[in-house]
Amino acid sequence: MIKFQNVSVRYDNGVHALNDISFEAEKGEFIFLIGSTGSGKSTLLKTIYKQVNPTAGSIFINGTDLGSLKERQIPLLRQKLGIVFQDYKLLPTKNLWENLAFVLRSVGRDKREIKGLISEILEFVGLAAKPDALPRELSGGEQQRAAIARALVNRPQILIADEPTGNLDPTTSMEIMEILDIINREANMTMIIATHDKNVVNSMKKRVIALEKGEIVRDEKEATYDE
Amino acid sequence: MNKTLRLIDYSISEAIESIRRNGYAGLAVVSTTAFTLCILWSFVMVSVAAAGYTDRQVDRFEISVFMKVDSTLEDAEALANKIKALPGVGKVTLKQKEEEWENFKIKHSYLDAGGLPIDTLPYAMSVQPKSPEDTVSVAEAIRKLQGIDAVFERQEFYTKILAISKVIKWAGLIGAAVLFFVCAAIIGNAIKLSIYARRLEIQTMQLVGATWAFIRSPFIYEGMFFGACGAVIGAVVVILGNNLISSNIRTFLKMTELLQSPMPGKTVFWGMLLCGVAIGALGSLNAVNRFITRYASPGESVNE
Ligand SMILES: Nc1ncnc2c1ncn2[C@@H]1O[C@H](COP(=O)(O)OP(=O)(O)OP(=O)(O)O)[C@@H](O)[C@H]1O
Ligand SMILES: [Mg+2]
Repeated sequence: MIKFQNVSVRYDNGVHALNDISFEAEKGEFIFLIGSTGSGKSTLLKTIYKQVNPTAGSIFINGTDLGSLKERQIPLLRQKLGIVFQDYKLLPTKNLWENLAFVLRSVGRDKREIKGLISEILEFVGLAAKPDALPRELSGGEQQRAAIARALVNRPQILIADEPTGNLDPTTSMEIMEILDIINREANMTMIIATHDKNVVNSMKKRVIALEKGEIVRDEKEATYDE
Repeated sequence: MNKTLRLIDYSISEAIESIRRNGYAGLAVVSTTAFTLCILWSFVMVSVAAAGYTDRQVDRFEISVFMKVDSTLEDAEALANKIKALPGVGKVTLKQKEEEWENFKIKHSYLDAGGLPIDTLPYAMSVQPKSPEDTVSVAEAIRKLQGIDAVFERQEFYTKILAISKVIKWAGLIGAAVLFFVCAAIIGNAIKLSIYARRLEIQTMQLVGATWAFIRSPFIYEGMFFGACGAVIGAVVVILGNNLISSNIRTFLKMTELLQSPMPGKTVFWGMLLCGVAIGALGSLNAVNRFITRYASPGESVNE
């Protein structure tokens, strides 16, 4: 489903953020991407949705080489992905409902369909009571869940999450991980989640890919945070 | 609803939202647009009037050709064919001698024409050049032909007026074209600000897979809306002004034959509306193409 083939990223300022990365992820696989700060986790995720392009190597999603995509095909790629950004990227002037609706509308979904999809996902992440709240009126954990709801609402094939439990207390973190775990199992959604969170990684026992200075130093199934 | 309708529905509601948020800034754009469109349309009307005037003058550029008194009908027909073959010649009408003779007798009844034989009247023809500017050159060419007594053309005065009205026509059109782009730039600037205000939203939209059309069309609609509003206000002003002017100085204008009739209100309204919407679409399209990538490219963070 996802295949990295000798991928390197070198930013304009000369930083080698990724170095010769190769791995494959099967459909429905749940992967934790770990590594200290600056190790290249966000960069790796960004290459999947083409916010950053590899300076060497290729990435394949469902057999399609991302390097061969034309500018106008990028939206179609992103519509298949659900992305939870490290900084959430919720729109500050729109309330929770509108934040989800605008994603669905901007990819051309029908109004009635939108209503059903949003109610369902808000129920699922436990925000059904706050559709009218603006992002700043939500707590950190609620914003995090809102960001996850937005990533899931279009029913993507792949979920990409950049530190979805950063800044959250351990209990809330575990709640959010459970949400993702349920979706992963029930919808067979492929998930790649970058995290620093030892507790989360250790309790979930999923595949772990560890990065260090832009290189994969460990790739292990049913693994824990430390070797 | 199919996808296109949903796109339009979405774009319009987003455009309304954006206009609502812009508030007084939008009002400023609309009034500037209305003002510019008023002047633009005045230019158009002056230009149309000048063109109409020119068209009405064309038959005044007739050239009258008189043949020698002893020429025969055959000579006349042969000459007519020769003239027809000259470059720049439009229509050649050979005058019927009998008819002319009757006219002559009526016109000059104080002369005792009864005693004069019909043959004292030469064959004559009127020649119309294809375009008024050619009058002199055509007349010169005819003068070089055989069997001609005299060639008259009423040129000089009308040429001057024509030249002036031509200048007015083109100056009006050029002025209107310049204002068209000025106005497009004004609306484009408003859209640029709108894009800047919504750059975060646009960036996020791009990251979640919104297509080209969904990102851009709300701004295009917004620009078209500004153009349309400005046009409607401008049209009301122009129509009122038109009525005021033409009721006051219509007699004067009639005299100078510059304006045979003022442009009808309906034409003004629809013309200006079309113009305003086109300007809005052009201005916003330009802004969208230039500024969405500049302000809201999600790839921006690569170079931050
Ligand atoms: N847009 C950019 N331009 C230049 N260098 C960048 C850019 N983004 C990241 N980098 C550099 O690339 C390296 C990897 O950054 P990246 O954001 O991928 O790390 P990370 O593992 O996500 O870190 P964190 O855990 O702090 O989020 C870092 O050295 C960073 O400074
Ligand atoms: Mg990061």
